[in-house]
Parts: sequence; structure tokens; C-alpha cells
Amino acid sequence: MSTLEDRYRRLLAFYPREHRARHGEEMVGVMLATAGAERRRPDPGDVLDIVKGGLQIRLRHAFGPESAVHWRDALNIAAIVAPLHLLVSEVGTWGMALWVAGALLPILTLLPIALTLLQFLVLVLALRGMRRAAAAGAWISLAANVAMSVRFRAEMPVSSGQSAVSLPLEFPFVSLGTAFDVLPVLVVALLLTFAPRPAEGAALIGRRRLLHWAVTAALTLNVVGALEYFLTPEIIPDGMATTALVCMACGAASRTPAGRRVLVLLLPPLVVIYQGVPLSSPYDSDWFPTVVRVMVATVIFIVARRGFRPYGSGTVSFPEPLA
Amino acid sequence: MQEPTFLILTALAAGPQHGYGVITDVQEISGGRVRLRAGTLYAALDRLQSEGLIATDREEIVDGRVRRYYRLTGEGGTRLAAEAERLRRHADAASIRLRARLTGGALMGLGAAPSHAGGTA
Repeated sequence: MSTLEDRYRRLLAFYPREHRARHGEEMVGVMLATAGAERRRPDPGDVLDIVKGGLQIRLRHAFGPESAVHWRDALNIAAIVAPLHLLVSEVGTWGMALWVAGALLPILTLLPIALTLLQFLVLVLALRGMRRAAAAGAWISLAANVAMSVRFRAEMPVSSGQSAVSLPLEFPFVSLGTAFDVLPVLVVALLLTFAPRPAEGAALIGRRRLLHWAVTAALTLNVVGALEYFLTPEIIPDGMATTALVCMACGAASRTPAGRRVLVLLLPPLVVIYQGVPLSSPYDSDWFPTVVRVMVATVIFIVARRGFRPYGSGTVSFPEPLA
Repeated sequence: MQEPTFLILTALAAGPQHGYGVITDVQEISGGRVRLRAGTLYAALDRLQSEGLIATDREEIVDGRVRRYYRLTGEGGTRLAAEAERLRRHADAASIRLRARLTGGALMGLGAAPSHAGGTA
């Protein structure tokens, strides 16, 4: 049977972790001192007061004056992560794109590659601290994407019974058929315009770590895409590899105050970009695969958040060997 | 400045106090009218610390539990003095007007009495 102290201690879950670590014991002591000897359960008024106090502290830490530095860091990080995500997503389809390139019009192959190179240039400019040039490049990229999207939609009518998003291969030039395709580029342009110093965002994550993630993600997407296409061509790709990578990155980001704010900034556009595909594919009418996907995504997020320690210490990104 | 904040700063103006000490002191200062709960107290202490109005003074271990003492900072003392002065001015203004009202009412009452008396005479 739990004691009054246990019950008070459980109420502290409403407080931020660092506040609990610093003031938890102290608060339990004060609550026990004010409770009196006869009390066995917390007074409902005390419970409400504890919950209210915890929420007030969380809100102040999240949006108060002292959080300004975290929001600035988050904006800088998001301004680097967003174009990198865009670049990796596009490069992640290049293996398959090159495979079928011969069957497509050259303009449909070359233009997306040119746009990807422009995204690469934007990222390089941002990493080198040339924020204005990077933002200008991002807006030019947006204009080019809009023009290409409009042209694609006008000139490439989709056969009856098949929508643009239901095509088996999701290349940039195919997904440009939907209005959603310009959203990632718009998000990048806005972030690079408003972030004070995107290069500092890259330094906060670590340039080597960013490179590590980008290369791993691009290779994974290409390999999984090829395996899905050649081993099970009759099954439409469900984007589980993307889900796993996004959840892993989100879990790792959620460990730090600035990382959690990056998620607040980037999750709404990510949800719109994937149209919910990472967590519930529109192709499934059965609930079971969706539940399995959600569970796998949750496990990946939790493991990445806690830090995967296969060798006793370190994280999934930088496991430290036993020796 | 809200009343609990004013009372917490007032409690700490006498010297460093721990959480439970602040609660009992505030109850005494307010004549038993304000009873701070732990959630309200620690939300206020967290805010006041972030604003630099109070600071941690020292820590003690009592019955195996940390007891942290808080003290008023220089800025906290200045803010409390300013707030006390503001409240004093308001209280003075209210007192002066209430006295004037009472005096005026009394005079009016005195002035009205003869005419009333005269009317009935």
C-alpha cells in the first residue's frame, strides 16, 4: 500500500525533470509538514494546487523570458535540419530514379536533379554562415518548385483510377503533382529567412553528427526503396523506413530543451508533408498494420530518446565501445 | 505584484527561510487569511528566482531530507520596498478620503439637524 509520501511524490510528475531533481525532496518535505499526522491521502485542494504549480512552471520554462535562448537555438537548428531533411528525402530516391530515368522524359529527370543541387547549394550557404544568400536561394528554389508543380499538374494528367500520390514510386517529379510538394521548400525558405544564425544550429548538433545522420538516412532510404521495389513490386511502399528515421531523429532531439523546441517548430509541417503516412498509411483499410506501425514508431522514438546503449554507454549515434 | 508574491517577499525580508517556514510566516503576516500551498509556493519561488528577486541561501539535511533556505536579493528588497511604498500611498489616500467622507457626513449631519429642529419647532 502506498504511503502519503509516495502519493505526494507521484504528483511531482507534473513538474519538469530538472525542477523535480532540484526541489522534489524539498517539496515532499513541505507537503508532509503541512499535511498533519492524521492524513492518509493528499487533500484534493493540494492536488489541484500541485498540478497547477507544475503546469505554471512548465509553461514559464517553455515560453518565459529564460526560454528565449532555447527558442533562438531551436530556430537556428531547424533552419539547418529542414533543408537537410529535404535534401536527404530527395537523394534517398535517386537510386530508383536513375534506374527508371531512361523511361522518362529528360526534363522530368534533369529538372528535379537541378532543384536538388540548388537545395544542396542552399544548405552549403547556410552552413558557411551566408544566411541571406541561403534564404535567397531557398526562395528561388520555392519559385522553381511552384512553376514545376504547376507545369506537371497541367501536362501530366493521371490515368483514371490512379492518383498522383498513389503511384508506386515517390520521386520528386511525381510528388510535385500535389500542392503539398512545395510546402517543405516553403518551410525551408521561411526558416532561413527568420533564423538569426543557422550555422550555429549546425554547430550545436555537431557537423560530424549531421553528416553521419544524413549519409546513413540517404543510404537507408535508397537500399530500402530498392528492396521494396525488387522484392515486393506488387506492394506499395509504406514509408516505414522514413517513419523509423524520423522517429529516431525526433527521439534524439527530444532529449534537450532546444531539441524539443525544434520538434514544436518542425512537427506540424512534417505531419502535413507526409499526410500522416508515417503513422497511418492511407493505403491500409485494415487497422492492424496501422497499430503495428504506431507501436514500432513509438518504440523507436522511446529508444532514441533514452539513448540506445548497446555497449554500456553512449547513444545510438555515438556508441562507445567496451574497450 | 500579486498578494502571495508580496507576502513571500515580506516573509523573506526578515531573513532567510525554508519553504515550510515561508508558509507559516505568510500565514502569520496575513493574520491566518492566506494559507500558501506547496504548489503555489514553489511556482512563486521558481519565478522569483528566475527574476533575480530571491536566491538560494544555504541547504541543510533534516531527517534525511534537503531543506533549502531562500533569501531576498538586493533587487528583491528594492522591489518589495517599492511595492510597500505604493501600497502605503494607496492606503493613505484611502484613509484620507474615508476621513473626509466621515467628517463631511458628520458636518452635513450637524448642519441638517438645526434646520430640521427649526422646522419642527
